[in-house]
Amino acid sequence: MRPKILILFSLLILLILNILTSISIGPVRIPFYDVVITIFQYFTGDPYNRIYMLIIFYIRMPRVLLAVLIGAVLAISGLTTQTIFRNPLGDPYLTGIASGAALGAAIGFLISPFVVEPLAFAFAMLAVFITFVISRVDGEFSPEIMILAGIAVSFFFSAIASYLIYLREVNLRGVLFWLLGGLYGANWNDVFYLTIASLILFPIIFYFIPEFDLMLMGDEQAKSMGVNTKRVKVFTLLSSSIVTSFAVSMVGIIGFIGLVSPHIARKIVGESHRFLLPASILIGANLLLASDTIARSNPGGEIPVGIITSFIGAPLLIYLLIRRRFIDRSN
Amino acid sequence: MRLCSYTFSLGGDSLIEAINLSVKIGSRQILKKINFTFQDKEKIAIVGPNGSGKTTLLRALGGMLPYMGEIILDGMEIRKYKRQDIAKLVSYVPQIFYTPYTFTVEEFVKMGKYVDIRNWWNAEEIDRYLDDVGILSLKARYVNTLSGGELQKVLIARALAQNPKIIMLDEPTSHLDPKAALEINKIITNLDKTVISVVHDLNAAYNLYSKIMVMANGEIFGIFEGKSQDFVDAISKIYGIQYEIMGNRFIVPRGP
Repeated sequence: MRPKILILFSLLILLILNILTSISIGPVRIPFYDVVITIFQYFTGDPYNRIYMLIIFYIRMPRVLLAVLIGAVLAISGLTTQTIFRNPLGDPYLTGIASGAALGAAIGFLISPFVVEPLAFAFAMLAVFITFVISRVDGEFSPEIMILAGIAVSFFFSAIASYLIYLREVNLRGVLFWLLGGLYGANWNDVFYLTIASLILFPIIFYFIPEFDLMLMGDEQAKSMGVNTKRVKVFTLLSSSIVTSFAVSMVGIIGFIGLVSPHIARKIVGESHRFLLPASILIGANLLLASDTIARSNPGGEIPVGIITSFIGAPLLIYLLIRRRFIDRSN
Repeated sequence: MRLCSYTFSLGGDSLIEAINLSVKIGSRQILKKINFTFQDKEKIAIVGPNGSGKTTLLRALGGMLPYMGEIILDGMEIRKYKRQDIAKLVSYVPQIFYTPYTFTVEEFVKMGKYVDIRNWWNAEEIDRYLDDVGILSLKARYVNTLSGGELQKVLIARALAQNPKIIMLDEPTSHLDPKAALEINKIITNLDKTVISVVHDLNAAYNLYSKIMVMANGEIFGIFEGKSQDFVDAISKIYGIQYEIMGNRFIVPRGP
């Protein structure tokens, strides 16, 4: 038990170092030491170097913190779907969020840039709602039906989105950039709202940690051990869907973080969710922050972070799959 | 409804009572208006051909299925219970399954403690349940590396951790070698609980259980005492094989 707490602690230290490093990297390179000093001075009195202070607090800090938050959101949602659906391929968008948000964004780009975020959020939630309604059978939510319903809803929504994009060649680059995901628009407002959403919705998911372990045994066994499976599914999936839709409406569709973070965490701390959940969150935050730092410090100009996360995430997943196969053979 | 049900229970406090219990899955009627009463600390074997509704009956008794009619558990209809309160009364040992998840035996058995979540991390108690079924030495092993017999013991330990009045088992020895089956049967007979067990091993049913419920086509063919000739006759009729008993074992004298 001890070593696992130590692992969580070192992941936290890694995240802090990651944050400070990411702040120091950019067009104006701020030495690591100056980053620490300036932040310290900001909170204790007047910073000595005002330019550093402006760059850190008005440009880099919101983006870095948003990356951390979004990484955490995607990881916790990914783990929630993987656990509730008992499917190792579960990712946060399984209930149709991505396509819903894409359609909302496409409509938004047709109307006005100011309604892109709210419409993306609204349509993502609409997709989730439809998926939930379809998969209600005998007063229960069947994981198998929900996965298929999510896929059907996804295809339907993206068909409409593709049609809109194909029909009206308006701001194609804007839609494309949005679909690939990126944190270039990060500001303190986004950080503030996403923090509030996380503070409300993360504890709901944390509350169900004991149930999560039992849910892995299958609905029937979970029930026989006293779990109100319907309540667990509705509360956790709804919480994770709301917070993910919120995140997606801000930064677009960032792939692979939600899929890969729980798998990496599982390899390090095992299956028990009281370690797995915090570990996934910390790994997701670390991964997205590192990817975003690479994305924005690309010499030829910023590239969408979705490209980087997939570029790092895909080989990582392949590595884990190959390793697992070898372990299975040796047993 | 409640009054007339007492005609089936010959006095005494019944622990489980089914009244006109029917279960329909899709358009198929799996259980057809069955009635029975079981008392506390009885050991009941459910025997019958595949598809006769044995497993469905267990699932209905555990409140895991929608059903028609009534199931009265410890004096109250189970629809009125909260899910967690049913789990305090009944635990369910499923058929052996393969789990890909890397839980240790200890973590796995601890899941049964969910019904008593305030003592969720009481480790000593877990040791006691592991010791009860003789697998304390496996405590730190991963469940996906266990043999069938070991896994069955872990599942029983998890059911014990719920500290229920009734333990239901679904074919506890069907996939085990003779030695493991013997060990599991010994554990089951020594339990100080009401046991309801779906069994295919006729010798185990005949010798180890106090009551044997024979099912066929979603109905109860009959409920018999253990080691009774009536049970042997019923089984012969159900399977169309003329059985005889010799030295407490079922034998087929002239072949089927």
